[in-house]
Amino acid sequence: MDSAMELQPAIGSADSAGALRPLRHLVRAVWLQALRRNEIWVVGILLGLYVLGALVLRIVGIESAQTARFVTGLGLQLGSTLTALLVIVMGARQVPDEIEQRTIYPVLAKPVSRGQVLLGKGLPTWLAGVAAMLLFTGTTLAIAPRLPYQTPGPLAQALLIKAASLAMLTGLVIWLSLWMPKAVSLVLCCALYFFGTTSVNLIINATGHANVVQYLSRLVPDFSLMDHFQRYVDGGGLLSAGQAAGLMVYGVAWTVVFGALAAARFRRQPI
Amino acid sequence: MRGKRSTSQAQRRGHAVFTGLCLLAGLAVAGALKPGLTKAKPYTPAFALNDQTRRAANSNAFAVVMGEVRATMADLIWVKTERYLHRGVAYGSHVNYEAMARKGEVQTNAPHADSTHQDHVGPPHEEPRGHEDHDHAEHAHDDDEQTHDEPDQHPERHVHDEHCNHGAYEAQDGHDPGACNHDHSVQAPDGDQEEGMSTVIPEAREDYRGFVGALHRAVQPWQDRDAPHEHTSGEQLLPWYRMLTYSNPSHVRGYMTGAWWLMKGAKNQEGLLDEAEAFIKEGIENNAESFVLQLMHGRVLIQREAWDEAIAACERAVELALRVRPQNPSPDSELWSESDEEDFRSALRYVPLIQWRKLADHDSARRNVRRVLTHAPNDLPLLQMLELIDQE
Repeated sequence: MDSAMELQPAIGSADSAGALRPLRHLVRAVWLQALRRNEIWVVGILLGLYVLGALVLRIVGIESAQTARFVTGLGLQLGSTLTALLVIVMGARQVPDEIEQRTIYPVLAKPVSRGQVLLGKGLPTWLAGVAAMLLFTGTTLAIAPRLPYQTPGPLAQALLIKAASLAMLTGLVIWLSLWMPKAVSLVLCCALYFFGTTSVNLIINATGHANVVQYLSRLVPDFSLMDHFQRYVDGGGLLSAGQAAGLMVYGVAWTVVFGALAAARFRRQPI
Repeated sequence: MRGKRSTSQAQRRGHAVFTGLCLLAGLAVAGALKPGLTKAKPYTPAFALNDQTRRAANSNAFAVVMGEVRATMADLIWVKTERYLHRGVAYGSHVNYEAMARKGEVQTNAPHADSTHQDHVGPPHEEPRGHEDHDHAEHAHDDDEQTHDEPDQHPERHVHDEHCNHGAYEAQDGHDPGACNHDHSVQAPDGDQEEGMSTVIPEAREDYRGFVGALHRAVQPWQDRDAPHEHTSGEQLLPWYRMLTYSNPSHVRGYMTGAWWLMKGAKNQEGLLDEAEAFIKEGIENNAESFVLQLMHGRVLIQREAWDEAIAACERAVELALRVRPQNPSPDSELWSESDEEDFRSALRYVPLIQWRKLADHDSARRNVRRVLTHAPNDLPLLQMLELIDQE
């Protein structure tokens, strides 16, 4: 379907505020797609399993600070990982599916630019990820006992930085999905997200910290920099304002890079 | 028509320029920020991550259910090193990694084993660990000395480790003043202290799988829990520590344990001490705030007999430790473990000890003992050292 039909009312009543209207409808279409497909429910089921386990543990009794810390850490890390997977799976199929099912034609026949189409795909993908992350975080905080050194400041920082990381990831997966088959882009994104830092470390060390390799490694997005939930769990204290701002800028910079690459590719892509 | 085409071309050019600018700016910003942001990753937790903490976290139901899903690559390699250490047999977690990383001791947390054993020593140990009255710093002795007899004046025996430098603390009569009295003559073969430790693959009488279980035991490295528990030579683990620290340069324990095995191997193989020093230096480069790595560096330098450099490394260790050590550390402190305190005291003692015994600089040694006593006023070995220096 889907975007084309969802766009119908917007196009019918095109007016001066039209620039944002198609975008709104594209976002709504993607959101509906996400709900109709399975990913959101898979995340929901996993969240449910975590809740069940944590509740059982809560009833049995969490006797030590270590266990409390572990339950909180697990919930937040699970949330962080699953939301990343959700974004990857959702993002990887946004444009390829539209092209495959040929529903991209009616979309592009409407007065929307290709850039708007991409933004309309990326924005809800990112929002779905952020929403899932907030849901996981809220649930974890509601279930796990809070320790005195687990303060809201680092958690807020972790959430903001993670949101920036999800934006990076959305940009990356959409860009890759325009270049390669859906499954390949999905696997590549997962590899980069989960093993990117380790692989880069291995390469840097194995090449004896060669300068060229070190410089090149900076051109690989480092998602591990953007995960600070454990800092909150362990009472690691606030990141300095400079560090937090730097991380946000890092996330935005990579999002801009991937967005620009995706837009450039999509603009020239024969459909 | 021509006008439209040129507008479209101009638009395309504009898009291309805009995209190029976005790319360049984004990559420049991200590339420039990355090295600085890497420093934002490490943090000091509000508790000490010691073995007790780890055990508590790993023994709850959640941890058991999640199993190795929680593990990172470095952790998996760490587990791998334990399998190697036990000749491939997968035992339940029982090794005291805190001690292994800090001293190279292979201590066990096994219920039936009250031992602390290295691959060269395995006498039963009557006190578990953290015997503060013993000084680990001042009675390091070489492995080749390990068979000499010493009177066992105390029931406690301590397991000498790599920083057990009796040579450095021996009084002129050849006796170790103030040192612990452990029986170096007792040499037990490796491993018979950990009998009764359960294996990951269960024994036949506890295995409900029948034929499948028998097959599992046959095709995987396995041995009966009552069979002598053996440890392989740690040198085989070195490639794994290399991979471990490559994949996670913040794995301080990996650097410490790897450096320890290299130091130990250096007694039999030339060049390994250089490698140990290079390895520990790399660890320090990647974990500049870790005082235990500085201390380990000091130990490597002591083995090298590079006394001035060793003093500098130990002083740096003390300086770093003082940044994180609570004002009044207690054994129950969540911030500062018993092992941290033990290592801190080792670092405190090394400096005057080297000045006294190796450089024969009694004045500096005396001055330094007095200075470091402000950080550990009741430290018995330091007080004894002061007394002996004054006597001389």
